Amino acid sequence: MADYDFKIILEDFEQGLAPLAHIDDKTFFGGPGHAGKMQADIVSDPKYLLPSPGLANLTNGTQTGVVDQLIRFILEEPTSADTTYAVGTSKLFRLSSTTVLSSNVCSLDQSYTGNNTNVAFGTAATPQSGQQFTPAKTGKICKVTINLGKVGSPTDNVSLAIYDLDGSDHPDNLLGTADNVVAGGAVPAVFGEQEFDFTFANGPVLTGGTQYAIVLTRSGSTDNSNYFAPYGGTGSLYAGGHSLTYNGSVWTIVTGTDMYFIQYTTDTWPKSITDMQEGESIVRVGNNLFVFYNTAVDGNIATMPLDSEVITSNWGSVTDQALENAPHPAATKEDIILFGNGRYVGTYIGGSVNTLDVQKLDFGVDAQVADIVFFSNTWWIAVNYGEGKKSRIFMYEAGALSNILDDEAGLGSQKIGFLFVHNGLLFIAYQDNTTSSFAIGFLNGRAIKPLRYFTGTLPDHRQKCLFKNTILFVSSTALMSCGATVEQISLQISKLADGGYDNLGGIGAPFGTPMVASSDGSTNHRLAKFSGYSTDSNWYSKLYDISDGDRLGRIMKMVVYTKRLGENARADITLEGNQVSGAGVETSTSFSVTGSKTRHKFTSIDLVQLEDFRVKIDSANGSTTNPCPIRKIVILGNYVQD
Amino acid sequence: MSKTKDLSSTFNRIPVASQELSIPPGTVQMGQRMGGVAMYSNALKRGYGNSTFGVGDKGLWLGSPEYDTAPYKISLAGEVTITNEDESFFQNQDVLIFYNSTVPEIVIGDPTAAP
Repeated sequence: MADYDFKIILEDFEQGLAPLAHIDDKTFFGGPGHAGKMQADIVSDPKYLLPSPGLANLTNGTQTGVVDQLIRFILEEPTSADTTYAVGTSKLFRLSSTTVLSSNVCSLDQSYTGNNTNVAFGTAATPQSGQQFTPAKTGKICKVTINLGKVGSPTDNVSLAIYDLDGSDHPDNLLGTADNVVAGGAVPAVFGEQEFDFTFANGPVLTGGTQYAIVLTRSGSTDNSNYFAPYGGTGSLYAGGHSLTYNGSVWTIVTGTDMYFIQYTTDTWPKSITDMQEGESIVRVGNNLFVFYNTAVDGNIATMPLDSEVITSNWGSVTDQALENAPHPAATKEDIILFGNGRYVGTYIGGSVNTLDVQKLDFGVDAQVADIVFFSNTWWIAVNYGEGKKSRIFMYEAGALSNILDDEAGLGSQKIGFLFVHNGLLFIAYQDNTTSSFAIGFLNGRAIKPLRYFTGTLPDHRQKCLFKNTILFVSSTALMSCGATVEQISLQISKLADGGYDNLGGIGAPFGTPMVASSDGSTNHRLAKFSGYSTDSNWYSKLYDISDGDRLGRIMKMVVYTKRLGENARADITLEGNQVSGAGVETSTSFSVTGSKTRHKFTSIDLVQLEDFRVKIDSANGSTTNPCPIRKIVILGNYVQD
Repeated sequence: MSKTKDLSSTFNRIPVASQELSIPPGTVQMGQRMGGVAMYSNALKRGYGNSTFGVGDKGLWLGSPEYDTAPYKISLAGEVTITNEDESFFQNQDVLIFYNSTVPEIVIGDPTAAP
């Protein structure tokens, strides 16, 4: 059996340490530079080293689709099954887990569903009936739903058409007829009404705010014993028009009754928000979205009901006043929104109170609100002062009625990037102005306890989400992970994945898989999600000292343990020694870990005796579908007299 | 046969997440809650909005998130103030005043001792 002087075992990769000891003043053990000296996944399968997740664009997720600008914020929750929203520089986007919606959604516009009477037609006295309506959206009408009943047994068909109105608000010019008819035989008896859809594959374009008419007609002759009776109502009448009856000669407006109808308009996505130049955040309260944004000179709040998807771009300035031109982080609790507004915190209290105050709290002239979260029945507000040279965290009462704050903690010479609540703790990303690095810590009493450090850039309120129980955040051009997948292993910080183009926007995981928006700062933009594996993935171990007095170490054998590998799975391992820089650097040939084995042995190590060495793992020749998960590396060697 | 020297990194000094994220015993958290009462630097409160009971540097109050606007409050000097839409009540060591919108004030004591 071979006799080796020394052995080194590399395992427990979830500890996330790839420090390049003694290389520079950042890449020491636990220092801020080590996390960035690698790009690999040590989170998804904690005992294994995996290649970074790859990125795949969502359908329509580039400028050749509909993402023609940097998406700045992704709503972190679905609003319905497989639907959420994101905001860019001038547009609101609608997303699913796979697609950025591009145009043509047949969505609700107008409706009235009163049902205590009917608006009969098809008799000699009333051959036709109808309903005035006023769409809110401009676009093609795509569907109208009528709740139909019948008297007797009409056997002919019902058709539906759209008309514009004359000067007396009566139906005038035919604009379009629905593609389908409803057979009389399918219609239930009166007061057992049933909804029927009339659809338009290529309906007429209607202008939002202009009144039109729905007209129902039977295909056969009038019959006073066998006719149609669509539902109608006499209470809580529709504001956009009245029901109509036609006696064969003239139309009559019936002001005390409206016909039951549901009207749909083809929506075009994404949608522009007037004057918006920087989307900042989106929150949902009840059935409404609130979009906070900046214009060229100030800020505003747009609202959008989720059922109609009609945007009111200037709701904020109309309801109270314009916002500052500043970051606008926002958080919600039930029907209350707290949002950052430069030096102010603004509040919106919904429900019966329905009050907006964009300057509820004032933190002073040199202050800027960085982030807000709701946690432990309290609002937590992070505020930076003095051009980001100092920071404080404030507590504010849950009802958002008071004009004073409950408590505060001064955090010193630190600029806060974001707050993140997870598992009962308040985590903070911040820049320590006494060093040139950043950190993730958590609030412990009145102090931030730093956990892990990193270099790059300080992420803001738009650039954080949860990934496998760790905090995923943006730093420079990458996505970093900090945390532990389970509490039984150590916290780690690592560069998990590349972000796409160099200018990263918002990130989020509303459907579970992280999405990241990026731009090249010019005409190329993308919204992508984690998919497969990246071949642009590498990992470095620390430098191991293998000198022993006046002897140097010579590596004789390397054994790499993996999972059983799939087709084309591969990782290339290189051993580098002697401080890895300057004269005297030694580098081995690259050893390919591939094939169907789980234990890969390398004995022809072409390195001279070294004072130190590190292991480099590269996935450049790997597979984007079958990774090479490494669970242990064993290095064996002997000492050689120097 | 000489013994093989193990040069592996010993990372066992890095605590697991449950240890590193634990709050040391005795740490007083901001807004620490006990029995539904949140304790701040300068006050303690239960509830929120206009359903608040609080004790702070001005006194004790009910019905508002802060002392100054509370409809029921007792100052640290023992002055009692009760107000609602139609009635108000004030009492200190020198005077007791009851007022409602339908009758004139009822004053017992020296009215100049009122706030």
